[in-house]
Amino acid sequence: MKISRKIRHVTSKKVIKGRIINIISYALLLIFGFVFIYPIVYMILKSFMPQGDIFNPYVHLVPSRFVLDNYKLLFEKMNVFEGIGQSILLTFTSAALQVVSCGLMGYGLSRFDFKLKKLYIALVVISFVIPGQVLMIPSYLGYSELGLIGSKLSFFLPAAFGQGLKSSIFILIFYNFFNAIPRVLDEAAQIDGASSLQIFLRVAIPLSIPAVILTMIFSVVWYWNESYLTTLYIGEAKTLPIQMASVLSTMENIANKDPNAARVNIPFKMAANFVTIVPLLIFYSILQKQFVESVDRSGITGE
Amino acid sequence: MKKMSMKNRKALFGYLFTLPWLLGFLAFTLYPLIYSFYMVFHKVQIGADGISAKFLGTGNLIYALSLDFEFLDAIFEIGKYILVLTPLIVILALILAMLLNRKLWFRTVFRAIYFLPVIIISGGLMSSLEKCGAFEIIDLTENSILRWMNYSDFHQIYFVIELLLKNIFSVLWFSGVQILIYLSGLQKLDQAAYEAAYIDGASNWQVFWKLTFPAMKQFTTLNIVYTIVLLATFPTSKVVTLIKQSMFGQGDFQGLGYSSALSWIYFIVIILIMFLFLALTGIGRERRKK
Repeated sequence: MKISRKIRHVTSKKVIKGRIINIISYALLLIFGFVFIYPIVYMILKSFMPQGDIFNPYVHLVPSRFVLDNYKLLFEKMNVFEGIGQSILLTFTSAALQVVSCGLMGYGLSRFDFKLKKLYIALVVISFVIPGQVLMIPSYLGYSELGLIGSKLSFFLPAAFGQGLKSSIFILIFYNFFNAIPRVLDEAAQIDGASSLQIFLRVAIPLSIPAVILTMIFSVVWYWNESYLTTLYIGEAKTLPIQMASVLSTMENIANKDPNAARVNIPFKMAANFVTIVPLLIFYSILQKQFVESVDRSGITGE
Repeated sequence: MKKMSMKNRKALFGYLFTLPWLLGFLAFTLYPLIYSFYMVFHKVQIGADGISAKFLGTGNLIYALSLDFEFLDAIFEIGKYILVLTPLIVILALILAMLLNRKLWFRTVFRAIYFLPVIIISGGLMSSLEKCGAFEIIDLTENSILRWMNYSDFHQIYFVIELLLKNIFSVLWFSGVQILIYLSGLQKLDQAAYEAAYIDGASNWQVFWKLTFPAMKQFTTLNIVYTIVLLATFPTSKVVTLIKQSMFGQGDFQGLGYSSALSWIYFIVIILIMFLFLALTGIGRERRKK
């Protein structure tokens, strides 16, 4: 009797403690979640704001009325559809090449033993730490000697040879992923008479879909958002981020002379930024489920 | 005999699969790296008849380290920024990953919100949002405690808090990938060990320090390195802007050679910061022992 009461007492205490922890978790997640999306909400609301609202002291975040003026102006100043096309072409081609080359590298490192393997892995890790700024200048000279400045090949070539944006991460993801696939599968296929190439094509590739999805998403996202190297190597490519950067920088040159102009431009700037990320948001919303699942399944780690 | 050839064939396949990467590494990483190091000691100009390099010795480096105050200021600023923000970002990422790993209602919604910055973050977006005031959620000058701190002996603490509040969105938005890394680590944890610990009467606090935290060590190392690289190479960093500016500049200490010198100094500073962190956490030493 006494013991059971004690147990009940302990368990009820535990339940209450659990509830408190739950409430704190939700509260923290809500607060941080709000701060996470606040800039995005700010951007969207401001992009529908009429310019008059900027100097209206009663308007802070929510526009007095929602207008499409900023977007109309944007479509006049920027070739949005060409930009989307160019961005998609550049981004998806580079990403696909990068995923293939990094997948091959990760598989090679994971499945075969050879003398230089440890050196290769070390080099992969080291090349992640080298800032792009160190490599940028000689690469620029190299491309200009080869006549590749202004051509998308200056993005496609490094991607195809495992040296695209943050390639080391993708190689390590694949390396880990293939390490987690039991070797017994390879051996079974081998006994059935499959060659190494056949094992790669028939066993490894079908199993690697979660890793491919995960790396593809990251690669697309990072290439899409990259405007620093794009302006340097292929300035004429009218991708969405580049067009936005050039429109905004002309506006800023005007605004530098007139501080009020800078404030007037806010709704337009926000509209431009929003349009640039809308394709990404659509892409993300389509693949969101696979994304979260593949994070669970592929484990993006760097053991 | 046959076994031997099998082993060799496997090695051959290994080299074949890694060949594209090797070629790429030589052409797009090693060659530029050496070329860039060579340029550090030269004045490089692009003329009508191609590229000309004039030997300068350590001139570029000495000028950058002693007289280029704009660059030095930027280096110190970003150094401070990385030193303060890296631990904050990594700790926050661990907390958020642990929260998101719980069995929650609307878990997918929460995850979608927290992963969103990973998808959209870019130099252009960050600088636009900052210029347009999207990151101004708290006005520092209106907070009397903070104002008092600024003028009292707690100036150093004020500096950290100010840096944090001013960069609260950067801290949060830069932590996306790290949350993912921790989350994937948390999912690999052995649940049986947790059950055993709870049956033995361990508290949540004990479980965290004795089980979760040690298991997360390698992910912490990874996250520290990732965070430093991300912060250092992000296009809104002032040093990055200066390096790009001086690339096409004219004049004595301008141009490709000088720009290379700046980028190498920056590279070395980043590496030093990284070693500092890895030594501080003691993780570097432990991993080598393994």
